[in-house]
Amino acid sequence: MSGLTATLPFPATTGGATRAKTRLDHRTTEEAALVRRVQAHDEIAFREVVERYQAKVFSIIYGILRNRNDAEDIAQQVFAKIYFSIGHFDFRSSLLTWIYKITVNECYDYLRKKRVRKLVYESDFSADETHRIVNSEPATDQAPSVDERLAQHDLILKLLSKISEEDRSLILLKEVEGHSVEELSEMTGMNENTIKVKLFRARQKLVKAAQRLEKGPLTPPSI
Amino acid sequence: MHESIRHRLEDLLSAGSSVGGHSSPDGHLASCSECSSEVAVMQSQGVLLRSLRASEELEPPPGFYARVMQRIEEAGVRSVWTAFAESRFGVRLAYASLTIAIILGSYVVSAERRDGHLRGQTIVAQDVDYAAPVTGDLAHQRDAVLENIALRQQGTAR
Repeated sequence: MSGLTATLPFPATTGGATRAKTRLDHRTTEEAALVRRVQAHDEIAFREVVERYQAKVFSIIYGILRNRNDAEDIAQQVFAKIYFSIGHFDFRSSLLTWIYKITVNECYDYLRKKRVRKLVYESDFSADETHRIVNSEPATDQAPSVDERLAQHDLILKLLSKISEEDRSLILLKEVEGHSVEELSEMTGMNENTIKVKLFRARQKLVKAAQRLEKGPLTPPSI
Repeated sequence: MHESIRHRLEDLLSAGSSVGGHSSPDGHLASCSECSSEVAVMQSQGVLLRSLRASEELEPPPGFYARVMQRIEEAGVRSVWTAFAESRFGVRLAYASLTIAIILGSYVVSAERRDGHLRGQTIVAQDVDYAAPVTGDLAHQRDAVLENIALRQQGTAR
């Protein structure tokens, strides 16, 4: 952790005293008590976890895969995984952060297995298309067509596959879930500077991945 | 990207996304094309990332919890070997074992070939004493010679 900030220093935050808040201790929350009950094989507690997070998990999966049929299958897998591995949950992060990471990983495992990404990853995008999508203006009055949205969706999934699981979860929590750096710090148990460094690096990797796609072997021969 | 922008990047990206453009009142961004272009690309990617947001909160179909428990039970009764085979570590271990087996196997084969054990020659241990002295009268000697010849022919026929 310190190594990260040492290699990529951020200026010290002004007013460090005000920033130095008491970090949320995930071991003492109401959620932690629920987790401990699940760890003690309390099935009612596990049911509560499922009911509390099922809508969230479904939404995350649907957001990534855009397929309701697959969403249930993967959601079941996510909760089964939670059931079997909650014993290893160490309270360093919030339960939601942990579940979020498992969910995103399951989605990517699914994509890997089904080779869904291959449909667009290596074949369908020309360099021009990639360039146009990546460098498109962030907001335009004209809504993109369905095809364009699908292409954008596939492209961002592919770019996200190029970064680590941790970076992927973090950047999705920031951009998709809309959490602030401060909230992410509370959720993950990392300090804000570390979050900023990790987000910056993840964004840089995404930019580089997009550039590689543009320059990739798929570039059509120039005429 | 310069440090001043890097430090405020998340604020800039959030502000940029809310106003819908990547122009910033920041003086550095106006003068540094490298930073402004990188921020612009990151903003575009932010828009793409936000497209992964589900438009509505989805509720699972009824009976979801029961199906989760069923899956857990099914997973619980699976053999250790299945779980092992499905884990990445297990698969890697299997590949590593296979590689080691191939390497060791090819070493053994080459060593045996070098020692001449794999040339396909049949070594037959026989206790026939061809050099047994032929003694006695002429008739007996003739029988003994014929018997030796017959035994030799049998040996070569095998």
